[in-house]
Amino acid sequence: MKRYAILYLHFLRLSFTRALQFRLDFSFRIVMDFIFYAVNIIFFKIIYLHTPLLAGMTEDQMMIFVASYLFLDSLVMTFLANNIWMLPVYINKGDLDYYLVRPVSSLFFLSLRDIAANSIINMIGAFSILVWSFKNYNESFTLFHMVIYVLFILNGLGLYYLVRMMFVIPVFWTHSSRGFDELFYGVSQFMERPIDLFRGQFKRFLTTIVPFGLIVSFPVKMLFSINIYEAKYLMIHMILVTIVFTVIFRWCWNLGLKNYSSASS
Amino acid sequence: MKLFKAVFQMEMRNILAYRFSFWVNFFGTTFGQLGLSYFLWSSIFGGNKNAIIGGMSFQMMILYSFLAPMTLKTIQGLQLLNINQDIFDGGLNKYIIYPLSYFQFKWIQQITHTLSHLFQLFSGLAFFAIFIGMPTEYKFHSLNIFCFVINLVIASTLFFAMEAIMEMTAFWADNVWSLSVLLRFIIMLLSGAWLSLSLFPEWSQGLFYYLPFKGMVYSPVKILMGNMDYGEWAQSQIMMLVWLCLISLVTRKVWLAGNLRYTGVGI
Repeated sequence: MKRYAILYLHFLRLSFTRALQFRLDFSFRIVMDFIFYAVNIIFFKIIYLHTPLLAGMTEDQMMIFVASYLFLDSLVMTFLANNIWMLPVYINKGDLDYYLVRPVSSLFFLSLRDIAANSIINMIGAFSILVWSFKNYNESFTLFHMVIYVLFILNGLGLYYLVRMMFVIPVFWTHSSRGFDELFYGVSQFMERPIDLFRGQFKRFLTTIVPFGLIVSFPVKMLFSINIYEAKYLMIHMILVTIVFTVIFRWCWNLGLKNYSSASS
Repeated sequence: MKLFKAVFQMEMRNILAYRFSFWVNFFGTTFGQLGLSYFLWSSIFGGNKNAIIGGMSFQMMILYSFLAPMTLKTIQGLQLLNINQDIFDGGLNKYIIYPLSYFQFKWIQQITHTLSHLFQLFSGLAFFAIFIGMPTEYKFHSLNIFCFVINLVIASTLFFAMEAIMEMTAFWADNVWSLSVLLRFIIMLLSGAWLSLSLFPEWSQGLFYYLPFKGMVYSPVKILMGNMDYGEWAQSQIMMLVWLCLISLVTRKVWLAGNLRYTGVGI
């Protein structure tokens, strides 16, 4: 464990050194992410010009949902996005060999090696939006709700990683340049909308088979849940889905590695 | 024309090389888009499905929300032109011996991708018509389809010019992909790909008239739906052409200035 912590500190140092080499890109990325935040907020502001409630949420509640999504996205962009983006390239070019022979977990190395140091400023920006949305909400939350919300957001980050990787792993078989990335970006929009917007089997599908409905919606639902039974149900559901997805992901990853034919596969 | 055909065929072969991914991505995003727009607008319209929001009924809004993202994808064509990569690794050199200019080559690639996405868009529209049914207000007219296709070619070329400027920044900076993403976010919001422009506040409507984005998604989708008069559509096309001329001039200036800095060595 200590060895991995030291290794991660090395990743951090190297990532910062690399980010400072591309100083102009540093500022471009900050502007890009802030425009992304603005676009998402404007989207819901316009929707609320035409309706007082959306999925049972008022505008202030929705802003907490949007801010939660933006904060989670900033965590993804900072710690995971670059690494997952490069994975299909490594698989197709055979560069995965270099990671498989190292004396550390290949998944740890491949998933966390590159930290987008310039996105850390965006993370601060997204966190500020989150604080702003909480301040605008005219009711207060208990400490229990806040702690569970933070834990659920972190669990959501882990779940996002698992789902995202499940869309990349098919590259081992298809050898296409980006796996099912396009499909992922198409369907991941469900994560950007509150789960109560959907109904029936479709809602069940989004909370079990492709659990985009859990990643941001469940932490926010947890925040607004007054009923202890509902809170318990949300917790058990989220933990169960995360465990099942972890097992499936590990199995698919090992299967993919068996199919990996090394250089220029 | 012969060269156009050769590049077109080569690019089509590249697109169809990964047929499985091509269709899985298409069906996944199409169904996803349909589900998303249905539930979002069901919630907004509530129990009153006969209401009119932003000048559209519930059925028309679903059709618009289904077509708009696909139209955006169509006009974005190639999405990334990889000009920055060619600058970065010295790849521009090889185009010296090509029988057509660098921008002609890239433009043909762009249009080929636009046409392949257009095929997907019409497949999606056919699916919508067969399994969901067209809204009663939908007016089919062959002239509208012709206008739609013309509109997409102009919009795709305009996107190509805008994207080229973003990527040519690589003559001065090393890593510029974030500028392309930035452009995409702006287009997504201001072209009506996420939300119909008629839903935006009244004060912003005048602004859309002068911006190049309205003609990229809002106008083609509305003309395809038979929900826009030809005068308004023509105005948006003229505005796009004016912007295309201006942006092409900037593209040329940036290209010439950038060429003076290009070493061709690669990093």
